[in-house]
Amino acid sequence: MTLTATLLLVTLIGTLPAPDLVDDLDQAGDAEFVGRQLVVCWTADGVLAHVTDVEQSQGMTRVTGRDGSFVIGEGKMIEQYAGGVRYLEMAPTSEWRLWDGYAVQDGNSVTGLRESRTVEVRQGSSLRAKFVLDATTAAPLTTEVYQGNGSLYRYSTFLEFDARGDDDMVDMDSMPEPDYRETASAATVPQSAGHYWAADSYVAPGGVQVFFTDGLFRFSVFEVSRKSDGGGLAKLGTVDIGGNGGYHRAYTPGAVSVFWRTPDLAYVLVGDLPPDHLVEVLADLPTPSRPALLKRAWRWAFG
Amino acid sequence: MHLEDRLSAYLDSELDATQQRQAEEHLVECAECRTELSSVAEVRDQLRSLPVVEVRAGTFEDVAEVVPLRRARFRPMAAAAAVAALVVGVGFGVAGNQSVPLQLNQVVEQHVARASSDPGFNVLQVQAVANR
Repeated sequence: MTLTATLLLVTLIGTLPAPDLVDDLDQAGDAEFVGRQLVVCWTADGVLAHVTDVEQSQGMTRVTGRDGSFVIGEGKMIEQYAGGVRYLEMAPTSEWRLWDGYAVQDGNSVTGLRESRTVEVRQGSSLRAKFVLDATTAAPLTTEVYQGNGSLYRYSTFLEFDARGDDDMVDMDSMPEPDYRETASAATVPQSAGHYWAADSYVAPGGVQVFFTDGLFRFSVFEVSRKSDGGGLAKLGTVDIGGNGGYHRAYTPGAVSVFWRTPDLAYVLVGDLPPDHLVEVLADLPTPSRPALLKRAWRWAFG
Repeated sequence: MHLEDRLSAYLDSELDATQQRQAEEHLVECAECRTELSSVAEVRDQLRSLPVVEVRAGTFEDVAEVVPLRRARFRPMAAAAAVAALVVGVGFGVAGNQSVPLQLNQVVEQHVARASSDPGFNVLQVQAVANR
């Protein structure tokens, strides 16, 4: 009896995220700061880098780019640009949790730009991510994401950081009605891919969005019409990923986008997952293939 | 990007000079399209090589005896329906082969909006839209 209770307790503790990480995440979400962030990503297509101005206040984060600014947080995305405002809001979502294949370890204190401390996330014996958190606000001053082979994949750091908030980030009274995204279900996307699980799915432009996460990284698979151009990704050359050809892939410093077609549908994957995870995930999703010759001939003739 | 539907146009010499050259350059580099080209050509050849059956003299007269022919009568409504069906069919055929544009920006923004529901570290998620 005692042994059973002990085993049950150990199992339950093993499935819960490290308490420190939950505290850090909550505190980081509430942090108020203004800064300038550098993001560098070592992709299969070369090294990409970008510097953006970032503000966080009242649980919302704003980044300012060339064409306008984006404010995100709590399932909302507000794009403010010269032509107006786009306001997107997602239906309520499932609870966050961390994959039990990750182990979180508190590291050393660091004195750099500000007083800070490190948190490491390990996958087995490999370092998967390392955060340098501001000692006061828990904001991630530096983030390193590693591939399975130990090489650095993405590095982001604040070049300037000031722990103060901007009370007037968004005037919600002047916002238009949000473009609300209801839940939906996808026909062909599985409930898990690699070690990621499908947390929610929503109505999306031209199809359905299935949101996957492992608590540390996130990606969405958009199931769309086979005739979709993948937002221009179809114009890129095809690449092999995990031994399968027919993928169109593009990187930005913060995310990877992949587009592919099957005989009946097309898919767009967007996310921040590292390349070795991407290979595992794509292996569990519908693979690129082309319709049979007669089907193509029929479509060629009749659409 | 593969040639797909342009293969048939290529075989029928319906591409303009630039498209024809681009298709030929692509075929040099793409084994998948070369394989498909040979498959399409093979199907066409097989269709063309089907035997021509000699029709026995008097066959049509025999059929006419079984199914007595009626004098054709002009039916304006049926003719209009046939023309409409043809127009709609052609319309579907043309529209069916057009690609459906998708705004990648909107896809990325929707992903980031959902990702921002998870606790903390918004600043990492938001880079996906900011740096696209």
